[in-house]
Amino acid sequence: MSSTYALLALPFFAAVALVAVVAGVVAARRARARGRRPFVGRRAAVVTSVVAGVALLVMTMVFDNVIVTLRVVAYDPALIWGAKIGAIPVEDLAYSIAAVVLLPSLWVLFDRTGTRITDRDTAGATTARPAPDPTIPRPEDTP
Amino acid sequence: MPGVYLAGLVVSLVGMTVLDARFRLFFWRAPWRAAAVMAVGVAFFMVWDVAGVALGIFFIGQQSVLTGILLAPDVPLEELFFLLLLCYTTMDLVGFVRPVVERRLRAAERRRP
Repeated sequence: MSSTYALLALPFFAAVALVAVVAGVVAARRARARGRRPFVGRRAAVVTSVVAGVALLVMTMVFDNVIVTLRVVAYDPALIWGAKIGAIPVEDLAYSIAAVVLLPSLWVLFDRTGTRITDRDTAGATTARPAPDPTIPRPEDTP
Repeated sequence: MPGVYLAGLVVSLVGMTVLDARFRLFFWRAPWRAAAVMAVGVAFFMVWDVAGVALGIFFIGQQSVLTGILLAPDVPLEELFFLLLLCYTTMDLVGFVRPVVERRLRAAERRRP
């Protein structure tokens, strides 16, 4: 019984956290450029990851229990904590936790539509105007 | 029964694709962006898997449901499909939950004086 499997997750969690922070900064900058408050988007992202994460964890517990019971995967008992959910070591859940943070962050970072936003915004205006001051909330944000 | 696990994974992936197409969750929202997320995600988890195998933490058990095709020692072909399913399921879920959360947050924002 040891923490080897748990410790293996640490460098991967660190990488995921880094990508998530970068995605958060990029998303906030985009929101500000569009004259929206980044706060709402950030909260939506966090709540989404928590809700989707809970669903994914439940699905993972079921799925992994099936494949461990079928002995598709086996573990060295000397390298895991020993805490189990049914047949699976709790450390198995690290994959799902990483997925639900990493993948939506990549989705934000790989968004290339942002470069065309300014075109779309100015197209609707009757006269050409300078880029909106990001510090002033636009009318649609303050109903 | 060799191949049963792979068949199960493929059926699940088809299910994820159907949900994606029906509700426009991931590939049906932005195909290239989704492909890039899947590629990086699967590569990331594959590195994790190979590290776990190299450390001797997990390995293929005494089973009879794998095809026997290996991508690397103790990394069966099925693992690639498993990681595809993990990533696709995650992003379908996120694609489904995100608009609901946004709508509720915006509604709550509007109710506030």
